[in-house]
Amino acid sequence: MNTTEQTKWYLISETHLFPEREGKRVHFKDYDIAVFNLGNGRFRAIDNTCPHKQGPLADGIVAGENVFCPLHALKIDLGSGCAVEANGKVRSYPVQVYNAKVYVAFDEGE
Amino acid sequence: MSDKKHLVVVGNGMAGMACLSNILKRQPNFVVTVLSEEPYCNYNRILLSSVLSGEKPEEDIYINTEEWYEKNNICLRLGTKAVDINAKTQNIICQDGSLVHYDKLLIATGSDPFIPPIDGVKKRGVYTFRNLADTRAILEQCRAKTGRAVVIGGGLLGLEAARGLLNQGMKVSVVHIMDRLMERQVDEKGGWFLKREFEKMGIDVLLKRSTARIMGDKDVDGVLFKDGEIIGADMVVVACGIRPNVALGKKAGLQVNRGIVVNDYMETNNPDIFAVGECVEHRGMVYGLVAPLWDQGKVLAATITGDKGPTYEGSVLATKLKVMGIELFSAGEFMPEEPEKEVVAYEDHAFGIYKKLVVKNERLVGAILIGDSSDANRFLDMIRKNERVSGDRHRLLFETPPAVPGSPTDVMSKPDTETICGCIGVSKGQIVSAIREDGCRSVQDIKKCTKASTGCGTCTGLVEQILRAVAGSEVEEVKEKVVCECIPFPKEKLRNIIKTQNLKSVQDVLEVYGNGTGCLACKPALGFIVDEVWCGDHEEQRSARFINDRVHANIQRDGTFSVIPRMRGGVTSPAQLRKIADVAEKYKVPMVKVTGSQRIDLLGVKKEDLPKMWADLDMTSGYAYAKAVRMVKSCVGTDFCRFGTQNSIQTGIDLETALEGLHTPAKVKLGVVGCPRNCAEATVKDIGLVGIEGGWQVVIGGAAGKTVRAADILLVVETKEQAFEAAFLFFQYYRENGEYLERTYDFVERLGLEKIRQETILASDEKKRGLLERLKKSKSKVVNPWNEHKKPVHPMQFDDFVLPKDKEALIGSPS
Repeated sequence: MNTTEQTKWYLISETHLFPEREGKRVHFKDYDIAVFNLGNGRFRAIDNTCPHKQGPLADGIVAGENVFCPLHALKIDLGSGCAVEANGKVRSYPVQVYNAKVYVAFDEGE
Repeated sequence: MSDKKHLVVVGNGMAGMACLSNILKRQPNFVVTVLSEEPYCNYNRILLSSVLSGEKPEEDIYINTEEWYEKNNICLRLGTKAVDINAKTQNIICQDGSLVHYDKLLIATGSDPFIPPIDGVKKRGVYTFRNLADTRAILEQCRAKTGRAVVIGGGLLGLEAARGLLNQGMKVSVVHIMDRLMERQVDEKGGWFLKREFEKMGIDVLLKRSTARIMGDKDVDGVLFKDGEIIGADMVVVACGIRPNVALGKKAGLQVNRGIVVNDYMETNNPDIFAVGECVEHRGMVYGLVAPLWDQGKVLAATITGDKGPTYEGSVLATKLKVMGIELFSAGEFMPEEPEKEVVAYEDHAFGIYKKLVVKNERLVGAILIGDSSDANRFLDMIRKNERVSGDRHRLLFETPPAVPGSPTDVMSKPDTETICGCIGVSKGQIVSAIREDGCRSVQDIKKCTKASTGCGTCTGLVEQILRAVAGSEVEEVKEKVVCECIPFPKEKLRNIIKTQNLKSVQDVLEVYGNGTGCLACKPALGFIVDEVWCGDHEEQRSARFINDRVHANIQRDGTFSVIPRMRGGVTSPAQLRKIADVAEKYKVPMVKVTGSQRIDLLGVKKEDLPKMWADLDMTSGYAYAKAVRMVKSCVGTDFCRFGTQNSIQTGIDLETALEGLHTPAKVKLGVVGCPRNCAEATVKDIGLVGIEGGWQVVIGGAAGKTVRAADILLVVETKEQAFEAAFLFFQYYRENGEYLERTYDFVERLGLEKIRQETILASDEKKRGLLERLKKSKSKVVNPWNEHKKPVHPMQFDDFVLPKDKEALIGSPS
């Protein structure tokens, strides 16, 4: 994920509205993504839809750098969007926290 | 048989039995009798402090079981106190009047606690802390009623007792006559560090206090000091040191100074009588530690079996404090009173670390380590070997390259002579040879073979490292069922840790005892365990909960939720049904279904509609999404049914009201039927009440899911109240002892009905009361989670973020 000086960053909301170690769903245009607050100012963003049976990943349990899908427990790495010990991948998006606000670069997802 | 000599060991403690083990290894021509004043098998006295602190259950500290005595043909006479010895006729007279003849006698009577002459030491609530009986008595008082405990004596034993009492919920003060704690093991500065660490834990340290009197009528209520100061106390523990128990030695006519005098061969002045352990004096020294006992035992075993040759030449005094959260090690001489002694020291106030080494004539003679005792064995080795130390004192204190703690190569880079187990005195080489030559493949094997790690147990990790490095893939893994790999403790142990370490949240437990992150399996499990252990008085962390428990509804395959209100006993009303119908229409609920549990399910609800629906319904959550009490299904019973023998409807409503809202290891479904026709299927429920003529059957462990199992009858009683009590006892026992996700039908099979009966309905009144009180306390903390529509736990608990389509972007990094 390479962001440049031309990257478009969208303000999502303030950090305190993201519960720690949980995911929150964000809708924007055709995007349906899940933004995770891992604690200590670390945030991750991936597509919300599980590659297995389309479960809402934002509702999963967060453990370290992973989320477990709430439907059938597929484990996904929040950094890369790749399923862990299984096949499948979701898009991941660059996230930045600045001045206690969370920004996502939707166009740079990969 | 007749040509065998009779060896009698007086004393069943660590010294006597360690020595006896060494004697038996030499396959001697002895018939052995052990006289034990205490009424139990040989146990590890050092670990009494761990029993007091709750870190170890009593059964974990036994060293030798009855089978060991049997297997070795030892006649063990428990509860038999030797009171006199006639050395001429070679007879021992016991308190029960019996006479025991010996050919060889081994005295291993250890020490007695020293009780200073203070008025009032006989009052109820005053204890010594020396044996299992003392420990049990102290624990019993702590459990009956917590309060203020005063420990008289700021030495090793007193401090270990203080920490244990703190763990048991007492408010603890330590009173010491000297100007610093453990003055025989630490210098003035070390005493300052030590005091600070104890105070941080919440223990009051009162120095330079001389106790004048223990106050109170029959029960202790305070301690008066010589300067007139008084402090309140509900319990006093006297830990003012120990004195060698030499009474029998004197009666046998042995030479006795402070202890029974022995020479380097461990002989007394009588050729048929030997002595070992804390009751002996060797070259003017009396030891109260374990390592010397072990060394003495080996020498004595050679002498007594006719292989006289090896000698005991004294031990370096080394002490480790076993107090959770405080590391202290002290060895050798540490007071630089002579001009030729030089000091190398390091202090770190922020981390509470203090290290001091004393060097004399280029040789290390003493060490004090507080806060970080990882180098303890290295220094102890240097002192023992009396090696020349290098010129660079900095290297002495911090060995280079720094060892990486916990790395498997760490311990293997040390020389074979390095001591691994300081208590017993076992070197790395001995452990390696136990693995290579004797075929040890588990820590348990190594313990048996070398006795390493059977003392205070702090070296178990090192022993395991050596085992893994030497035996590699051949190591036999001990499969103990642990909660999860992220937090590798069995559930029972974890509950103990959570309690004693005062851990109130999932994240605390994971960070202190686990891998810090947890996983899908253990986070919800820990969520349940902290709730159960603290009876609802924990710190709830929603992030550890499955989505169902974050939004109090059951997630469906399309990501929508289902809503099931509580309908106690399966009873509803026209008004309630109307309300449910209105809500279903208002929120366009796609499916309304009657469940198998006599309730109504509203399916296909969007997350953001949940709080609004709860507000409109104004009903209690049915917990249909949780590992918790689901419902009580009931039949019509005597109210309407012509066959009914009991009032099952009201009983069902009452039972559900009593237990609703409580979390359990796995879901719990209940049923109440008014007669054995069993229309509401109570006999395939986790807990069921079956009405019979004149009473109730209480049944447990039934299932009608993937597994079908008929419930077992726990007991039959006459009244509804009795039936409820039995059901509650089982319910709470299951909450405390069930593995997470273990349904009652597996739980009942795993433990067996008899064991469950013994621990619930047949348990002591005290145990029963405990179960019921904890249940009551948990119940008192229950709130209807659907109230969160009024006050969400988080502003975004039920909502998504929705950005407008024309949201403007920032070009380039916001920072």
